[in-house]
Amino acid sequence: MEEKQETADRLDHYGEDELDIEYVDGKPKKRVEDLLLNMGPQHPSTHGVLRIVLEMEGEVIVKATPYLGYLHRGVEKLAENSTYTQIIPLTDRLDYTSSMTNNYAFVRAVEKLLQVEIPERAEYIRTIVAEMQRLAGHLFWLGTQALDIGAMTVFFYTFREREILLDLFELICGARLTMSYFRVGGVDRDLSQEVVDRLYQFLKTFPEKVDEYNTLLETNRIWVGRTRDIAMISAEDAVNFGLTGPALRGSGVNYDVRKAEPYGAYDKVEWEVPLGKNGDTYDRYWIRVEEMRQSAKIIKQCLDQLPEGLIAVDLPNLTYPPRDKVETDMESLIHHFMIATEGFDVPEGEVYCGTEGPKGELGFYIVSQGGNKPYRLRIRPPSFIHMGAFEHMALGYMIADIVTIFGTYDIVMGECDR
Amino acid sequence: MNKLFHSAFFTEILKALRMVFGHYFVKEVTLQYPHEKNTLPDTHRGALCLLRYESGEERCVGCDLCNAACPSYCITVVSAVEENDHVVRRFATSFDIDMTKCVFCGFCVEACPVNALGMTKMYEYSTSNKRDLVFDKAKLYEIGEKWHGQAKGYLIAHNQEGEDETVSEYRYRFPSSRKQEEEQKEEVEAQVDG
Repeated sequence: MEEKQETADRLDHYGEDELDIEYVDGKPKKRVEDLLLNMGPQHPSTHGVLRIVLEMEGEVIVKATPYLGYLHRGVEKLAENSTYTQIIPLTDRLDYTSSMTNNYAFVRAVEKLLQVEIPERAEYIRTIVAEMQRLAGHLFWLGTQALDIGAMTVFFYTFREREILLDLFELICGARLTMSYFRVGGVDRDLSQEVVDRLYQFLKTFPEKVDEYNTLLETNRIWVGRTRDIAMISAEDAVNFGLTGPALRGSGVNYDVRKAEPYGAYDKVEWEVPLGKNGDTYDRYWIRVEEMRQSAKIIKQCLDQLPEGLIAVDLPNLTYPPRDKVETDMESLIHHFMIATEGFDVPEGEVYCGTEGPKGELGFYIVSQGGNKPYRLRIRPPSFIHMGAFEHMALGYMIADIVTIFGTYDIVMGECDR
Repeated sequence: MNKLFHSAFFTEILKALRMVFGHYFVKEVTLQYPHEKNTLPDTHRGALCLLRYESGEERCVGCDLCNAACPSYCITVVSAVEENDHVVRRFATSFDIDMTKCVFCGFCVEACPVNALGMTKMYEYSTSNKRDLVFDKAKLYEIGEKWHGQAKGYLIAHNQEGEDETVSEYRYRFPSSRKQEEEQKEEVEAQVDG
């Protein structure tokens, strides 16, 4: 009896005296309940502001619900009030680790609607910068994923190479992260000889650096233990959930927008699509590493083949007129004013255009009712679609694996919440 | 057997350790920021500035194109017309750029018909008062005078302005292609003449 009183006092002390507690032999009966765990939105390894509510049974996840929208900035709505050129800086901020491919995806959709043909040199330059961005994106993924799992050294090594690429981007267009390099009808600036030389130099040593990361990870027993058979998804499920990019190819489905509907200069160079077998995190890691090697190959071939010519189409109602003519020619000055103030008119119609980004297929769906602004712009971000498969991939794994699981498809919340 | 050997003697970890220790003898890549600074290329898109002609006259004609091209609506221009001895001059009475909104896309510089705007390599202007970040006309000209070389370098690097008066390049044209075109034109003309 004394013991019971003691327990009651203790509970009273914690303010839990209202709980109905059953007593068995004077001791409180053991209760079993699921643990509800809030992860994020301020967790350091949620890659931004992602909140997940986990229901745990011991250490095992029985339910995982992602809550999205913490980084919602209304890009789609903003785009409705901006001219097509003004949307380009908005797309930079979708997936901020790969703004070049975001620009590329948007610009391609508008060009598909306009039905303009891009000069060959511009296509090659676009392919080169998009692949450089893929390298930077995959290096970023590899570094942060390894850091999340606990391998810190890889992070330093991958960021060393990423830094070289970002410096090159700065040399090409003037910014390291938010490039705004693409224009509808071409690109902003030409590649200078310095960029080409430095890129060749980078590509010469890059395969060795990839081997370096592999030395640290490929056979490391901790890395293999933490990634093998984690976040498994079968090929059928991956297709049904609409996964794209390395997440889909990890399950062995051969789908790459660059091969399926070639754009840019991808059909003019030789490269392969790496495929996985098991559909686990280790396969996805392997695919990304292999893709880096393929990207390096694509850039090298593009640089070798780089043709001379224009870097933007010569259409007076689409691109700015020659700079020297603006000062001397009346018509050019008028065109310059028209493009700067009103942009260009896009014919009526609807278009969807998907582009292969580092994370998967980034699609832009544009509804145009004529005029210089889109009526509706819908973005299909790969991260958002992948988030739908999150629960399916997370069920049955341990709490310690949760960071691996949402890291495995390279999530960026800027793109996911838009 | 081989697998057992590898797992018993931690060969992969030894291999990785050897590689990592090898990095002790490689030149370090880290820059100690406030003491060491990265050299920025001419193309760098930094703080905006306003420029003057060599005679000291303001370049800006208050045409408002920068305002129209800006994707974040951070530029406000108020323009006026002044007539002096039948010479009409347009100029901006006030020119404000809200640097807290600016996204450094460079569209305003691209749109300016008289190359009055330029971008500098200035990036260290943090302040404790947010109002200081709204650059007015005086401040923009002050920056333009201080970093005149950088702004000029930016305009040349982005094909906005020729390196001297005689050189003028198509903005979206590779210089050599223009040469080719001119040669072709000359050939055609020569044929017509012939």
